[in-house]
Amino acid sequence: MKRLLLGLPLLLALVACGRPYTTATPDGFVELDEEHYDESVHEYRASTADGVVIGVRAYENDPEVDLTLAVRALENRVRLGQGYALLEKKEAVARDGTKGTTLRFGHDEPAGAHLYAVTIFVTDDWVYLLETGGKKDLVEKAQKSLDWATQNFLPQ
Amino acid sequence: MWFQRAHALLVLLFVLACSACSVGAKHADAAAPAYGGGAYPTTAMDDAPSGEAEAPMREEAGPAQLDMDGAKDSFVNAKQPAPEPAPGKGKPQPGPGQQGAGADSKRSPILIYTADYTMSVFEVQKSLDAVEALAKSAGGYLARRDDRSITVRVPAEKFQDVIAGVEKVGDVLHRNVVSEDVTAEYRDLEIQLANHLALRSRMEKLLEKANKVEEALQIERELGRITGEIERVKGRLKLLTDLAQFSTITVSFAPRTQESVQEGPFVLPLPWLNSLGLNRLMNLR
Repeated sequence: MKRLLLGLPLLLALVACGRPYTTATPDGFVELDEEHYDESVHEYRASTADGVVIGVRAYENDPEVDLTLAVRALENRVRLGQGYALLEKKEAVARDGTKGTTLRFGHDEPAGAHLYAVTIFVTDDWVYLLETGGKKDLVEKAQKSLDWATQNFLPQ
Repeated sequence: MWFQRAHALLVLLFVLACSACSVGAKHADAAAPAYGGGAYPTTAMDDAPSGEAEAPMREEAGPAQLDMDGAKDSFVNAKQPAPEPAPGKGKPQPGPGQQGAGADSKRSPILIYTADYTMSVFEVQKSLDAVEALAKSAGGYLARRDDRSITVRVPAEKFQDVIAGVEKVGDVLHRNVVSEDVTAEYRDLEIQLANHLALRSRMEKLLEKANKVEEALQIERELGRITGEIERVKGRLKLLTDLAQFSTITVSFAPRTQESVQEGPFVLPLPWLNSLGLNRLMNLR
């Protein structure tokens, strides 16, 4: 009941404002229509013509986790659970100064080597996942734009 | 005349009895390959000259008295350091035939090193090339390679350098590095070989003296059996020598999806953990 009462203003705010975050779409990317994302997790998608994709999702932080636990759980899932190679783990900072962590992974797909990165921000109310991915060479070319998108991400 | 024949028969019976007891005997022929003198013999499988084969036996230390510092070690864990060599040794022990001369080498263990790695699936072909290049630059060679795994053999003294390099090639999910001490088996085989060679030499001399066809056939049968044993022991010694001189490193690229998810305690019931990965992200249809 307490959770419900706490969650109600959040829900109302959400209905009023749409996604609980603001994204910045870099040059060379197109923001996709709603048919390409899942509204239930307030999803945002953008892609280049070649298939370098940015995705953002926001989940209610319930059960509540902190950044350390969230990063560990994410690493375990993607690295050990899905077999991705962890290439780098570094701190990320959103536009409002919220600190998060970026994990960069590599994975061989049938179409060749791909790169996948997840930046996670955790607030009291939300867990934000900012994902980027695509073919290795294309992602490397678009890396500055992807970094720009992360730096200009604004959680609620 | 009958006395001579009876004497020959008695000698034959004695030799056969000795033959039955020779396997596993703890005596070594003085003409046996001389690891006690310093070097482990690379030519230990060569037959000893028949004149020396009849030299008197001498006592040799049993396996229980050997230096077992390098007894079997196993390291199974991600991000665990490479195995330490046996105490007092800076590097993995060289194989038989590579031992230095001196009193210490008499008790140096003979170790077989093997390493198995599982790495994440990322840029597999490039990583396979890197592992192969590492092995070749260390004086090793490619033993087997397919689309997702590679096995290389490297000189034992370069083993640690190579596995240090291998660990930088990719994201290591699992490693298993083992050093197996085969000193006792090796020395036992050497003793067996020496005894068999001495026995064969004696049998050959008896064969020359045999007067009856039956005696000759019996001795030849026994000679055949002993020769087979000699070949078996030689083969095993050769294999151990090779395994000790060249360590085996296998690298496989494979995800651990199912086993990790099912057995690991890290699968938290967090909804946002359930849809990570490239498949979902890049599915825009």
